[in-house]
Amino acid sequence: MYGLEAKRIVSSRIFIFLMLILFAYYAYVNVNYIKQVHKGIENKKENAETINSYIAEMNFNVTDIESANDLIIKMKTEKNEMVNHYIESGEDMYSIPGKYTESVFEDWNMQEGVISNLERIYVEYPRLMKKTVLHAAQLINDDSQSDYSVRENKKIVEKYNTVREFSPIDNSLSSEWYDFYGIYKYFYIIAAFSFLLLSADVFCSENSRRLEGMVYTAKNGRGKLFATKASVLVLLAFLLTLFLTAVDIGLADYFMGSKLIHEPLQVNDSFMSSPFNLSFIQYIILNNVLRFTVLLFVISLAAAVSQLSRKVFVSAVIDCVIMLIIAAIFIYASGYMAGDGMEIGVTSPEFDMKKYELLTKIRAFLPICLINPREYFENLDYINIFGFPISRLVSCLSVTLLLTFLFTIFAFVRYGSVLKFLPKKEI
Amino acid sequence: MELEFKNVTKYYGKKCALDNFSVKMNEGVYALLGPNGAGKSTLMNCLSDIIEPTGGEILFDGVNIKQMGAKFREIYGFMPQSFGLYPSFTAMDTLRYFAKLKGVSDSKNVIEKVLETVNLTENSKQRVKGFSGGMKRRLGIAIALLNDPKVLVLDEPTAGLDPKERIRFRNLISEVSFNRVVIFATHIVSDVEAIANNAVLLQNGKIIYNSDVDCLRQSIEGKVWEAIVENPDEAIVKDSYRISNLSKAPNGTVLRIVSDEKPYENAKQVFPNLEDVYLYYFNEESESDD
Repeated sequence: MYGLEAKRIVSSRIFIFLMLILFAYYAYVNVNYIKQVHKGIENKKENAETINSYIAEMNFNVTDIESANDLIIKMKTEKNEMVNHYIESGEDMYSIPGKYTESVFEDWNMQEGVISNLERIYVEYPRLMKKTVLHAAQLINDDSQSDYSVRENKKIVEKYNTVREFSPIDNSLSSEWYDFYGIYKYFYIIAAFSFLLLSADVFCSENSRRLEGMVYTAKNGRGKLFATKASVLVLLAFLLTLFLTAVDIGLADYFMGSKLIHEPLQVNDSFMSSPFNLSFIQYIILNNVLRFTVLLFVISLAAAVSQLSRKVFVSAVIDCVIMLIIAAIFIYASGYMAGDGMEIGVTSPEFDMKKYELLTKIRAFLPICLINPREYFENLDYINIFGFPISRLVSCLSVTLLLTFLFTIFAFVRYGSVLKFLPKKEI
Repeated sequence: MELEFKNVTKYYGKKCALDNFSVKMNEGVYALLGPNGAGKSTLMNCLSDIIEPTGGEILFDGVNIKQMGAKFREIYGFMPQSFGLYPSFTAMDTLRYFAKLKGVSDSKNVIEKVLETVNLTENSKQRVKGFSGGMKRRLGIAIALLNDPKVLVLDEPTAGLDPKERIRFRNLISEVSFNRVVIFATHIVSDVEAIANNAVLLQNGKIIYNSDVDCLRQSIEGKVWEAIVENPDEAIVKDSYRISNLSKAPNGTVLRIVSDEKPYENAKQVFPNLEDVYLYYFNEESESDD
């Protein structure tokens, strides 16, 4: 039955139409973006090779923070000596070929950047972590703190202590990837809408084709058929997620290279305060798992609504209204961005605190927020629910899964059940 | 084997679609005869457990079909009045799909058999979107027959078919009617005459007659007349009586008249057919339908 149900769904016009739109948009977004940045990426990749060879030459293989500090100081000293030598001798740093690049000046620039990055990773980051953990530990031992505060701070200590060690590697390409990865926000909203419409059609197909008399009177025409339809839709959502994950990993590899994608997220400036012990590749997989849960939510929502209306058009309209409201809140709250799509910093005068606070609140409960999970991972992000500190990611995921479960149970029980009234024309 | 409707009642708001419908059915072909809106489809939808009766119960061998649930659906086949099919499926795909839905074991052989029964073997690999109305209906009955049902329900099975397809369909229903309860709803009287053993006449949700077809004919014996009416009187007779047939003769018009009393001086009693019966019981409905 699964094979035939899958064949039926996949060969339906609505499936073909929605998937064409979805993949056309996906291809357009990717190709358009990559076309714009391709040259820059290639240049950066060349630079990364130079930087990595410089780091390797410096023998930057450290096992502890102190030896990293010593090496950074050594690199700084060498660089400063080189610069002082050229300044004192009065030689033109631009015209003398460098050891790593075309000129000594570029060598100096490159070294400056590398040292600053290494300092950030091996000095600033541990200092930040230490500061946070020490402060949290202080609060844990402070008797005047509430139980909530103590629990929250214990979690902080626990989370920050699990962050992995880094490899000394050029991290500049992670920023390129970070910017690129942000463009998918609206694609997944379109994907969610596509699955919503597809599911409305699938769960109302008997009624829209006036087949309820033949289907619901069959032995397996109720519960089992519902389970089959739901399973096929979940499988399609899974296959889509799998495909997108594979492409995402491939593109991450293109942007960052195969070494950097295995590095911890904290290598990237935006994730510097992230408490999650994840590599970029794990982060990408987890992102897509979370987006997959949104698709599950959408399928269950469509299933539930379809059992209330039993008409494709009415179901699709109700589903779309619900999703549009949710998406509008999400897009409005995410609107603390400048016209060019760049995020506005909290300190910027353009920053809209009201929108930001709304987003902070809805991110704990609104399933669609899982479509753009980045913000959950960037900082330690807890919400107080009845005195319990719960990660916004966990609370949003729990709400999504709970609603998915409830909608599915409701639809399962109602599917093919007897009606008090039939549509007028069928009386 | 006994299918019993016990005081089955269905209200849509204040409108009563079925009023205390009580009938016992055994093996054989039962025709539900009545004009549009008589309650035939409502009754079938109640039996199919698609809509909930307001009152009463339906029993199969003494057990409420609601309690039987999937067990009743296992022995039940239903072809609704109008239905669509999945256009991208072939006839074979459609039957395989429904065989799975009906939990049919050895589906390959069963499908081959039902395709042969409904004469669609040659079209089994054709997509159903290219099927004619008659072919779709034959496929519909094949679906209903897949699980070898003990109770087979067909709602207006011959509606919209051309005469050749209708005859083929009638023969088909007769062929498959052995050892099961076959219920078919119709307002095409000739179908009932050709295949039904019993007829239940429904009007405004109420049973107005329930017997075998011969008894039904006998029920209006002495009330069907044939008369040759001359030209000036023809219009008066046609306005005053229910005319079931009219044909021209050299000496006037031959009218077949359904009437409790002798309608014309030269009128002679004739044996009723089911069209006369329909006209006798549903004349007012038919007129209002028009």
